[in-house]
This record gives sequence, structure tokens and C-alpha cells, in this order.
Amino acid sequence: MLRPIALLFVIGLLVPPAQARDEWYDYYENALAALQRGDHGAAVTLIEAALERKKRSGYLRTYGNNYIRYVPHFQLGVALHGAGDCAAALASFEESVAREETAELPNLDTRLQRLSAECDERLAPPPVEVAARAEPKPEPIDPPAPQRPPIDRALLEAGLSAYLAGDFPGSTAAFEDLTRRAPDSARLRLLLGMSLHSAWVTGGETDDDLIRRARTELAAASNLDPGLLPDPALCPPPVAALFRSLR
Amino acid sequence: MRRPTYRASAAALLLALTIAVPAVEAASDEEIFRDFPFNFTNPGARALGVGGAFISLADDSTAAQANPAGLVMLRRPEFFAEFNSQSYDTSEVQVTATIASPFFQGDLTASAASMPRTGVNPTFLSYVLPFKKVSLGFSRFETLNVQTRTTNSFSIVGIEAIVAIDPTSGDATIIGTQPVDFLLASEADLDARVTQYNFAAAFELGSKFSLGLTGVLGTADLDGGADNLFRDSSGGGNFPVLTLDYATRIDDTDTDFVYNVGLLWRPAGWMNIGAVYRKGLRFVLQETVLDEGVRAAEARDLYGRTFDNVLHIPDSYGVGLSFRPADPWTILIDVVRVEYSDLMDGFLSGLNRITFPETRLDFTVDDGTEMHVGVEKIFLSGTTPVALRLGAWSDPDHRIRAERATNEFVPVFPEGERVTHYTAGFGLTLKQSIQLDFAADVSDVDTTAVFSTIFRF
Repeated sequence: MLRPIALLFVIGLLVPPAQARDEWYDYYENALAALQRGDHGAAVTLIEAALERKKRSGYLRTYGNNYIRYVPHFQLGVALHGAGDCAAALASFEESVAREETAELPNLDTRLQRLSAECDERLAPPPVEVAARAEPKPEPIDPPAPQRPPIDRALLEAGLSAYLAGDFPGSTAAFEDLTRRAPDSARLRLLLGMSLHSAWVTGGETDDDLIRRARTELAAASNLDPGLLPDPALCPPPVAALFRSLR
Repeated sequence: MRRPTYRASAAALLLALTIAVPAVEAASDEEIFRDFPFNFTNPGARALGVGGAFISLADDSTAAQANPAGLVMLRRPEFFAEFNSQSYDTSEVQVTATIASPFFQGDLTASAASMPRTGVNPTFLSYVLPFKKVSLGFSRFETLNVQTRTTNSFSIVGIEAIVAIDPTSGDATIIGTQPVDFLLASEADLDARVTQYNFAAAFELGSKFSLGLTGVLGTADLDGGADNLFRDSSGGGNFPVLTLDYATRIDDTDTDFVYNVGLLWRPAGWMNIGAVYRKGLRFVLQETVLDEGVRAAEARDLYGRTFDNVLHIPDSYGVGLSFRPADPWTILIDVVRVEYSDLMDGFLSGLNRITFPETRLDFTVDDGTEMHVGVEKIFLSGTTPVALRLGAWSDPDHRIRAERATNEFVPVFPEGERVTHYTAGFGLTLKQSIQLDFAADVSDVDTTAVFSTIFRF
């Protein structure tokens, strides 16, 4: 009687667990554990794996009558922020807001706003005063310029997401649209130049029009804000070098 | 000249008794084994709420019993406790028939009463510890816990004919009458407990299959006895007061070790298919025939001073299907085959008040198929999941009955009938750590209320 039990027990122990514990909530809870111990890189990977298996956010059933709060885009944003990738973190936070992941969770929402603001600050160009100290400019004589329309935040995030995903035609289209609306934004022109340059590189460096337009946009950015520094997290070294050479 | 036996008149009495004699469930046809309410339904109020259909779901720590393969679903250690209150229809029946025939005029009276004592018992306790490669579970399951007192009496009071029979023609002639006052009675008590200790382990076999094994150490503890009495003051009989005819006592324990095997297949995220085989425990318990009683010597000659009583819990196997047509809904179906014929393993006849001393009576019981269906819907009240459950299951006839072809006591030990149970329940999960579930099972035979709770660490 004991023989079949012993045999099955041994089989069970010998068989590898394969994808044991590979439900979406396994990845998600492991990601939260990784976040707690500060392993942001691992957390990003695990949350992305969870998102591959479960796209819908919310208070979701796991097994039995158990539910967990599943806010993957918010947590992905936290992990990316912790990993220093602010542009991607902003995109995740934007997605989180769009999905109303934190709408009814004041603590998470406050944290999202705080981390978003931190990322905005990191991605923003250095204060004009710093640039002014570096290269003093005469006081403006003309009357104050008309107020610029606010930047379309969603379109900016979409452009950044496309850029980070390697969709350079998509990111170029988004940044072009944004630049048309805010032609004086050095940062947007820098992003457009980076996007065009990346499109030129991925296209085999054969499209002269792309590199010409990239140079134009980078030069314009430099002219608009000589103190502008490219974000090393977003800007490939060749583009940074080109940007510096155009100053 | 000879007096007619009581059998002729008793046939009508026995027919009348059909409704009064409860089912024989196991071991022998003795009074003390009449009502063994084995707890075969999957443990837990959640399982009961969905009609006991839990083979394919088995996603909490009751899986050690329902389908050990389901233990792989658990992610956190769990402690589970079930409290069960079962109340049976106390059968207390009296039937009187007035007979006016040329051979007998008077009353036949039969009465039977079965009085199980019920209470709230912790019927299932379990602890499950999931690891990365294997989930381990330990549980204690009360398969049977009953204390019952059963009494029966059969009386014949009236005037019977004294008959003379012509030795050549065989014709019967009434030559006189005499008073009849005859009583058969039995008083039986039983305190019976069968407890299982389950040691379960479950393994993942790939991403869609899991295998579970449960080693079951069972103990049976029976304490009881039956006094079989009679009074015969017919025609100035020798036993004008209630006299002990023969008596038996049982006070023994036994252990057995068996196993359960379960499989779980998750072909899609919204569907589970499960299968389980449960080997039944088999106990051998010694019973004693007491020295006291008018026919104690005859009883000892037939069965010995002590004899073995076999209590074989039926093997069973089943398959289950569960699916979620939409996320909050789960629909469950189980089909379980129960080999009730195992109850006939070592079955003894002729010990019952009525059948004694007919040891060669044939009894039988058929294997049966249980059908379980249920549905669960979960609502979210804020962040508290609230589950509502409905179900039904049909319990096949598993009453040990007298074999019709060879047994003159067929009316006394008739076949039973399929019983449909309706179940309902609800549950809530608090702070993702405490689950509380309630369920009730109602049928024509009994009513069961179950409360269970899970603590996740």
C-alpha cells in the first residue's frame, strides 16, 4: 500500500517545478518584495512579467477568495524612478493615472504626485538663472512675451514612451507636434533632435534628410537655451556629442 | 397438536415496521450500527455551500481532503478550522395494528426510536505550508462522530387460537383459545468516532498540472452495546417480566493507513479539471457476547465469545470541472463514485433483535454515484470580498438491505432511496488574512450547518 505513495512522492520531488508559481500575482508580489528591499531593477522586470500576464488593474482575485490591490503601472513607475529612469517612470505614472489605479488610494496618489514632480524636476532643463550666470544676457527690453500654451503632457509621455520603446517615427511625430505648438521650447527641440538622430541611426544612417533635420533641431535647442544639458539617461552619447559640437 | 408460531402473525407486524427501522450502515445488522452518518462531503463551508463540488477547485487548505493536488494553489501558510453541527431526524415511530383473524385477535404494536446526540464539533482542522517546489499539509478530519441511543419494541397482545392439525389430512381445527402477551425489545447505545490524520504533499508537474498525495492515518473508537430483551406471558408463560435474551458489548479501537491521490489540470485560466481517488479506511473491532441472557449460550455458539466487526469505509473516486464564465462567477460540477459495497466487507447478520439467530441471511448494498453542482459569485464590498454560494448534491441509496431472493426479512431491511441535498452559504475575507464561511445543507434526512475559518499568515 505504501509503495505507490512512495513512488509518487519521489516522482513529485524529482520533477522540476517548471513554471511553478508563475501566475501574474506571483510576479507582482515578488516585485513588491524586490521594491521593499530596494532591488529596483528586479522589480521592473517582475512587474513587466506580471503585466504580460494580467493587463487589467484593480482589486483582483488571485486564488480562492483572495484579492490583492494590483496597481502595476504605479509600482512600475516607482521601480523605474528608483532605478533612475525618470522619463520611463513618468510614462508609467501617466499610465497609472489614465487607468485610475490610485484614484481611490490617497496614499498612493500622493506618492505618485511626489515622484512625478521629482522626475519632472530631473528632466527639466537647469534653471535659466544658472545659464544666465554662465553667459550673461542683456535684460530684455521688449515687453513681456505672451504666455505660452501649456505642453500637452499626454502627448509628451506618448512621445517619450515611443522613444524608449524604439518607435522613433512615433516619437518623432509626437515631438514634432509638440514643437509646432511650442516652437520656443529648447527641451522639446532637443527631444525632437534626439528622436530624429535615433531614427537616422536605426535606418542605417542613409537618410540624409533625417540627420539634417536632427542637426537643425539640436542647433535650435542650443540656440534657444545655451545652458541646456541633455539627460544622459535619455540621450545617446553620439547625440550628446553632436549637440555639444553645435554650440 | 401444535401452536402456530408467532412468525405468521409477525409478518404483518414486520411489514408495518418498515417505516420504523432505520438504515443499517455497517458492520452488522445489530441495533448499534443502524445509523452511521459518515461525513463524506468535502470539508469546509465554502465547499458545502457549492454542493460539495470542490474536486476541481480545491484552492484552500481543505484540499488535503478534497483533492490534495490543489494545495499547490496556496501561496501563504494557512490554518483552517471547521465546526459542524449536524442534526438528524430523530426517528421515534409507533405503529399499532388491530388484527381480527380466525387465528388471532388483538393488537400488534411496533415502536422504534433513534436518538442521536448532536453538538457542534471541530470536524476539520488543517495547516498548510507552501514552499517553492512542494506544498505540505497536515489535517485532522472527523469522518464519524456520533453518540446515539436506539430502542425498539415489538409486542403482540390478544387472543390466539389453539389449533389441532389432523396428521393424515393436515387440516387445522381450532380447538380453543389462549391469551397472548409477547414482547421483543432492544436497547442499544453507541459512541463512535472515526478520525483521520492526513499528511498531504502536492507538486507542480509543469505549468498546468499538479499532483497531490495524502497519507491517511485513521483511528476508530467504538464504545457501545445492545441489550436484547423479551417478555412472554402468553398462556401463563415463563417470562412474565422483561428478561434479557442476549447482549453484546463493543469497546475497541483500531487504526489503519490508506492514501488519497489527486490530480489537477488547469488547461486555461478560467477552467480547472480535477480527479481524485480516496482509499477507504478499514477497521476491525472486537465485539463481545455477554454471558448473561436466556440465549447467551446460543449467541456465543453462533458468534463466539468475541468476534470481529469490520468497519470498512467505502473507497471513492471522482472527477470535477470548474469554470469561470465571468470573473466573479464560478460554476462547479463533481461526479463521485462511492463503492458502498465495501460496507459488506465482513458484514454479520443474525445479531439484530428481529433476525437473531438467523446467521445466513443475505444482505447487500449497491455502489452509488454522487452528483454535486454549485455556483459561487463574489461581490466586492469595498475591499472585502463577499461570496454567495448555492448548490445541490444527490446522495445515492446506500442502505444495506435484505436480499430479496433469499431473505424473509426484506420488509424490515428495505432498500433506501436517493436523497437530494440543497446547500447555500456565504463567506467573506477580511484584510486578505481571515476568511469566514458559513453554509447549510438541508435534505429530507438531516440538516447540517457548517462554519469554517481560514487564517493566512
